[in-house]
Amino acid sequence: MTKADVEVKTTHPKEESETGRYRIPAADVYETADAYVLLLDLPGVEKEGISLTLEKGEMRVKAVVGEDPGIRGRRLFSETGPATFARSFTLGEGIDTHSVDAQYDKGVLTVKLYKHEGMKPREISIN
Amino acid sequence: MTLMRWTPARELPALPSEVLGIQKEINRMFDSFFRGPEDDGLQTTSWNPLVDVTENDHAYLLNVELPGVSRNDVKIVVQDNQLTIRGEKKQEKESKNSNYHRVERSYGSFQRTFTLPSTVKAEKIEANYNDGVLSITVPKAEEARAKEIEVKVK
Repeated sequence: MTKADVEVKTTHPKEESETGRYRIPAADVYETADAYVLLLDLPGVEKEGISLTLEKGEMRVKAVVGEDPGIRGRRLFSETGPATFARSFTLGEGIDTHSVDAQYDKGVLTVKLYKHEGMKPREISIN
Repeated sequence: MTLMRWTPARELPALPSEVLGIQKEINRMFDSFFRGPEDDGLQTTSWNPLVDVTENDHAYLLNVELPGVSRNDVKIVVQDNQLTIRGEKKQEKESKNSNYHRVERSYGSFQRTFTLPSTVKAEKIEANYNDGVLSITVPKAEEARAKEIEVKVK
């Protein structure tokens, strides 16, 4: 198994850089025996506002912050930035792109990318 | 209007946590370098959540980004016109023993304090937590509300 099975590379998604500004969400990546797990901070986004696309070894995440009708008014200061999150990840060959789990909870998107059978550690019994 | 950001006391540096120590330390060095002399003080908390503050005719609204923080791990305290948000982001059990390739998200305790204007109803402050964002509504007192007076043109 090569080290860079899930290479986390931030690329600039085409459509976003054409239409304007977006935020790059903070990400954690960890590896377990059978999968790579990606955690992405997407605060203020509704589940329906997230799109996750897998194509040719690349995973794209895009999320739009839902507008809270209660916060309309004069902005005194803002630290958060644009209301769109976008980030791309390059997936290594060892990832089975057909089995991906995604969950969204408390503003965090968790994506579980399973390794191909042959990439999982295997215990061999001794006769 | 004096809704100001408060810089935590320049005290001892936060002890690096055992797991993410080096990464955090480096982040902190970069942060303090780019933040400039004004905010250069060492901090007692591990991270500062990002905040947006909006004002309308009736209230001040604070939106605090707390992704991955449980509702029960957040505390909001108002004392002497100071509103403090503090809490802790705990790392999930499963991920603790895993092999990390990249850590950009913040963990550990956080704190932010805001000085409220005197013309607010501190006892009527409300808070909601949804999708990783804590929304705090601080209603204005009557005298602070914008009054519309119609001037008749003769």
